[in-house]
Amino acid sequence: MNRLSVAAFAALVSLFFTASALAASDAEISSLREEIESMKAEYENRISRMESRLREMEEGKSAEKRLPAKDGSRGFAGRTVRSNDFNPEVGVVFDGRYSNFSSDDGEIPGFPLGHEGERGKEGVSIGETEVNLTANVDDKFRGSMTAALADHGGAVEVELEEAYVETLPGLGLPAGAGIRAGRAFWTLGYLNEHHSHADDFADRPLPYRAFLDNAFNDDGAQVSYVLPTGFYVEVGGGVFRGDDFPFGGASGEDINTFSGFARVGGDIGRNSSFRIGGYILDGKASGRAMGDGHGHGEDEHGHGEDEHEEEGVGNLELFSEGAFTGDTRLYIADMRYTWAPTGNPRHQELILQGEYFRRAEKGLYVLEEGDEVTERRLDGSAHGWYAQGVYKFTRSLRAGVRYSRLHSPGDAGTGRDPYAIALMTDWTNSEFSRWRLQYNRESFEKNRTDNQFILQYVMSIGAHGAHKY
Amino acid sequence: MRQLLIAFAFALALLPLEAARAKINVFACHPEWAALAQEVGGENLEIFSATHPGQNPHYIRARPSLISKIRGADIVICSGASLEVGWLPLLVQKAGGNVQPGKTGHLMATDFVETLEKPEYLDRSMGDIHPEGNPHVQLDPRNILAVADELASRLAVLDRENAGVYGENLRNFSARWEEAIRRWETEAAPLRGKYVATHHQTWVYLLDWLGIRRAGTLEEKPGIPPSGRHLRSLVSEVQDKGTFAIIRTVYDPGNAGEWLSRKTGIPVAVLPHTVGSAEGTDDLFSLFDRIVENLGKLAGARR
Repeated sequence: MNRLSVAAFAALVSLFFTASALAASDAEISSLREEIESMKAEYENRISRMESRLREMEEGKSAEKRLPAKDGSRGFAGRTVRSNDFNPEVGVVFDGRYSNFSSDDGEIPGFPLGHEGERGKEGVSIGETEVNLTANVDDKFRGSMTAALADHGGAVEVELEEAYVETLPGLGLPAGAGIRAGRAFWTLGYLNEHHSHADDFADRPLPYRAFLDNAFNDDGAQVSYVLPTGFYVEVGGGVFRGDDFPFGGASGEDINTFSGFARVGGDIGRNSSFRIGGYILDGKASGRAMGDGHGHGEDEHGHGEDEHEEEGVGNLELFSEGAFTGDTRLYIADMRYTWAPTGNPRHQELILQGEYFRRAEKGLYVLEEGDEVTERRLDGSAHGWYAQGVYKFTRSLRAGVRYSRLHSPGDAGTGRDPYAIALMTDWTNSEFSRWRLQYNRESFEKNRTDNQFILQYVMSIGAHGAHKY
Repeated sequence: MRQLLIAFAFALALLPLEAARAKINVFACHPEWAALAQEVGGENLEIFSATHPGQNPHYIRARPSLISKIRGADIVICSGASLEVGWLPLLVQKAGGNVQPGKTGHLMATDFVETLEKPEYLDRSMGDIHPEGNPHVQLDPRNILAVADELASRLAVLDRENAGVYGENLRNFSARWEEAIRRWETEAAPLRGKYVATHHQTWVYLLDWLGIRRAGTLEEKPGIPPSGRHLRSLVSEVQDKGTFAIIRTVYDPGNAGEWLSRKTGIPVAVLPHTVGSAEGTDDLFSLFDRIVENLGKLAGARR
């Protein structure tokens, strides 16, 4: 077909020249002929070059590099950057910090926390050391694993943060569609998808700590689809085992944990852009562990003599440990706006970000404080939100402020809803290293304020994937 | 049957199908590749440039709008050689199978020209180095020609109906471009062997083409802002060599160049590095016209 139209075109071109030459004299005609002949020759040269390229490409050689012959004076002969192309990309992220807290108590009344969502360790410590391996499996799949090594009570624990495979466009799914299966930081709000080392603050905001135990990375699968629209619209959803906070104790017999999301985004002018999303996560918890006594399942729990049951909502403030069994549904909305005054986010940039969480729960809390065990029915909802702004002044200096707040289900009797203010400034030497100083003022109940100072470094070696928006 | 097909093809060729045909969507990473696509594809293409001329192409956010644009792209044309490594892979992941690496719709300019400054070894302490060599290949017009050839071939594969048009556009462009190269080379001939200092390694290909020598680079290591110590060491070096200008792009910070200029009396200038980065650089031809013109003025003033 292409050869045909090329030939047709050539014919048309020569027709044109012939036609214009009709009125000319014989001498002119013969000189014109010569000219046409030479033009044709040159043209056919190009056409035949193009055609041979076409054939090559149809035979699948399009990606081959066609370098011009080396003249010997340039480049480094034989240098190719392929020695570890088949090895996975390997990266390690270091996170170290010094923290100082003014209060001994980091509990949030009314919001029994999971293990990860608790306040960090005081003093000098290394947080999580992340090891990431990523590679294409073959032409159709890609795999990634991230393990976090963290010190828990003197023993180094390896925590499998992510271990997933995902489809590559080579699989032939419709353009814009993708499936990810395994364990991953699923699409849920803004921060959940991101590894904590990429965060703008040293700790996650209150709603993440209370409602997601820092992050939701259950086992499961998720499908997403970017719509073929002029502006960005992505929709998707997932099914999960139901084992990770805010769920737990899943037997695996039924799949009853689902998520769904939709988000839109675009540019405003040349130098700013935004994204807005809505998310839902719905499932059942069969003994979601909270507090220090993590690992409590429903059936492990013995019914002691001093146990008593109360009806009502709220008043969870007395307890530091417990488990929840029942239905949980989480609604999340997120917003992010970036503005680089000159178009170069490397030099100056303003990032505004906020998320709103609403958790509706219906079920039974089993709470422990010492020997006292209390069961409490709950049918209500709690919500929380945070808003933050980070401004980059120069290539290496940023400052940010964050306010986060939780609203208890009913009156928790603490006289005040928990809130926290964070101020941070960080110094970034390159994409691979950053130092941060952060001040937190956390006030979770009347007459208790926790002033925290955190000095943190985050550094990475090896492969370090590009950061998402 | 074959005759019938040919007859049918001729009949089709005679019909004015322009309106009914969907255009080929081109996702160009930078304005220079968008401009080249315009030369080769013209009206048959719907061209989008992911960056604007004021942006440093190394550091772009993988914004939602770029995801939606690349998702609908039939061909992606970028510089390659890790110039877009911080953002393009994320976008390509969300794009269709036709623009994945190795496919006809994935065109990296540096795969089709010879790159300069390939490092002998790699280490992150060396700054933002590119294992494949310097990626700013658009500033040697001979490279533009090589990429134009490749682009035309790929467009012809993607859009068979208009293969002839792309061939003709390429022929037309190449002829004018080759002539322009000769003109620029003549105009810039007096600059051969003279020295300039540059902010970043953006200008390597331009200098290599015109035979201009580099007295020094303000960034001691690529992508890492110039240090005072390094700048001080440059003062005598650039003076000794009779450097005629300190050049940078519109997105490089100006303070280091201005400091060096004050110390040495050598003029500092912003040269256009891509289409649209200065007044009167609306296409590839005028881009190089301005570059050569500005260099000539700078050298003339220094003489």
